[in-house]
Amino acid sequence: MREDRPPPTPSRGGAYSPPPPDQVLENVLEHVLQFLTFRRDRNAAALVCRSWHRAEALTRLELFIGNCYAVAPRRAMERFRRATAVTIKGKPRFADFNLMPPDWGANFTPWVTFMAQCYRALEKLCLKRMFVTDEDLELLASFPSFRELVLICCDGFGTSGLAVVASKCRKLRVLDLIEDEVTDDEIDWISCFPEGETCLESLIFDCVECPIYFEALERLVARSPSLKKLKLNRYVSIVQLYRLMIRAPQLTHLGTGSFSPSEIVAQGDQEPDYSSAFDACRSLVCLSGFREIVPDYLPAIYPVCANLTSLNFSYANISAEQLRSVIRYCHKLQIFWVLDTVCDAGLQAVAATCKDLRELRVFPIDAREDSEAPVSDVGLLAISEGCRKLQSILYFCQRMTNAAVIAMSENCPELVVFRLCIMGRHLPDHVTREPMDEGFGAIVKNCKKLTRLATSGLLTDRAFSYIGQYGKLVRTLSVAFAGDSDTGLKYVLEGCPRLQKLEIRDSPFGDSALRTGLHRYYNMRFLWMSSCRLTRRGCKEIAQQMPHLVVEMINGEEEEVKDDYVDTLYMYRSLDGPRADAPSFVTIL
Amino acid sequence: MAKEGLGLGLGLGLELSLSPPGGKTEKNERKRTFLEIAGEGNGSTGEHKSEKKNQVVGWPPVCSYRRKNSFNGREMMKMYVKVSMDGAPFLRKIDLGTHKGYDDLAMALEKLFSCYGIREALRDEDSSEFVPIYEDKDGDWMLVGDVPWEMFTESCKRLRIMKRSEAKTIEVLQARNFLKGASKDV
Repeated sequence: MREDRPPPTPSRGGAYSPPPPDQVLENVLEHVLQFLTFRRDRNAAALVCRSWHRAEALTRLELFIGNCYAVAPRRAMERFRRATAVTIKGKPRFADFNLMPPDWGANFTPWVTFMAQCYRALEKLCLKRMFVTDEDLELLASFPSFRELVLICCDGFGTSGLAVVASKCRKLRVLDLIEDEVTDDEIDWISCFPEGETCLESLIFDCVECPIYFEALERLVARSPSLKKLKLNRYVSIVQLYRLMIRAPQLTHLGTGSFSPSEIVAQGDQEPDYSSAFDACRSLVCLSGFREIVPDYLPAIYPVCANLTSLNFSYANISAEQLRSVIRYCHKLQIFWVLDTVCDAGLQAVAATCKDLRELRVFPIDAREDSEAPVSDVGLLAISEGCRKLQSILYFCQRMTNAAVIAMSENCPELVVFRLCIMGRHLPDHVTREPMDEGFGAIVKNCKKLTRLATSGLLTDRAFSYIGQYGKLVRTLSVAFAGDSDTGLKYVLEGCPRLQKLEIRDSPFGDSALRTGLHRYYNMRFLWMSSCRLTRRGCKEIAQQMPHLVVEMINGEEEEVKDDYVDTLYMYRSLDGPRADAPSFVTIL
Repeated sequence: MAKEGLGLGLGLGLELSLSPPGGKTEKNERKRTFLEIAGEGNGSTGEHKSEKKNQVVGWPPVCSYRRKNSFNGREMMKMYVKVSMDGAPFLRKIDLGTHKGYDDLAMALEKLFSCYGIREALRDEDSSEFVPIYEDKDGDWMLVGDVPWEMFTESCKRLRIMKRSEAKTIEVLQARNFLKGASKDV
């Protein structure tokens, strides 16, 4: 792709800067740097020297902001003037578990306001855990080239905002709403897409808890020939699903909606041949939904099972038997999400067939710490023995053994993500009654590619010594109700050089441990510690020693903290100092 | 137990109870957890033990979106089955998981089909106009109400409210005999 660059001339209307001495080198550099796509590579290139920094900044098309408060919108957008795709992440992950009061922040408005001036050519936007208003969406919709909107775990907007996006973004190809909280403004936003053929490729709205006008959706699907991904919400019945599927056999990703009949069905009505609709979707590789499944209908999906690489049953209350009837066909499955209602027996069936499995998530149907979870170490062991290529696992259970975890560490050397959640707090190995130290130790020791770890169960400081000793690639660590003393946290802060995100709750770590991490904090995206043993004084010391660190103390309520203990500490580096929009329950030290 | 504002004229409707009052539950629960740890957890007093049974905020770490759309206790498990009633033009769908027992189910069915007599049917079979039956996992039609509720919800695949006049008595009798332990013809 060689273009001869025209000689520099004053650009129309924009600022004119005289060409740098070595224009040729700069041109070459920009052309070469275009090939760099990975963020880390680009960041490295930008550090070489001033001209590389400049060239890289001009050629970066995808801007990634890992923490919306780490940099001000102005600074980011003035450096990377030509970015057309932006990703911004807001609240820390523990906000998903109601550990953060609402109205904490992560507002999108300041970003979109600046984008309206600087980034009018914006094409793609991805936001995670941000607060987005309808007005923000309206502003976005006015960008002429805007075509991709992905909102993950966001809130603050409603169907009226969606209606504006639908009607004004003429080039919209992707509208993906994933686990957002969307208010029902009683607007039929689906009807707001303009008439005529659309260029929609992906429409994901399974999280939108509002009824939709089905006929409008049907017409929309019928006039969207490029549509490949469609994920429906639970207000779409199985009959309606059928009608959509026969109009869109080209789908590759399908979220089935309720997968059950509507509340009222005429007696004696002939039910359509659902499996023929699935059979017609030759390209289907990803299946999800099943929000209110009536298991009778499961056989309808048999025709597509052999091609599936991703299957999400995590909202489907199905038994081991029912799962078995489906999973035995799913030889190519790589990603599988499921509820623990399938029991260890169901997981054994998965292990027997899904030899290519890369990612498994087992969610609890009854997410309480004293529930009786039907999956255990038995299921974990079976998976480890059957799915040797496993890279990522999230597993909720009540009964676990070190032996099973150790076995997984030995059978699945490709593990990159290991998240085990033993739901009862401080539960030991249910057979030996020992702490779970050895299990987690084996994981960090044997899984040499591990970058993400979440611990649970009874853990002593020894577990953390293992993590510090062997977890050299760990970037994200989640700890809850674990450890004996400051020593535990010290092991981690001293031992894990790649640590980026550390989130800890309800563990006995205090100021002394916090101090040992001073050399780390500028290189980390954030540190979260809630209900630990930190004092205000300890946190203040950190704030004083590290001027570029924003140290937030978050109180659950607006009252004076008793005993000088800090409820929640959330700290992160920032290039632009403390934020201006902190609510009253946040104290920035 | 004083229900008025403890004579302080606060008019807040304070109630004395062991657990923290509504709005403050989260924070106090978190603090209790912290105290448990500070006291090394195991030596919990009776009161702390009961607090342990209370749900700690945000634990287990299932994100709030999933929690809302999923299930939090057996009472809320979604078990959808189709219900038909003889003479009614429409089938209905109900969630057995939202009902606590046969009486509750009967009331719901009566509302759904705007008819009365289902509750009577469950209590005293012979007098009622209706015969509620269900198809179980094995495909057999059984009389509703004879097995414990949990067993019923686990095995029921669909419901039918038959009119006694239309009931094929043989089918129903067979079901009843089966339940009474008589051997079943293969």
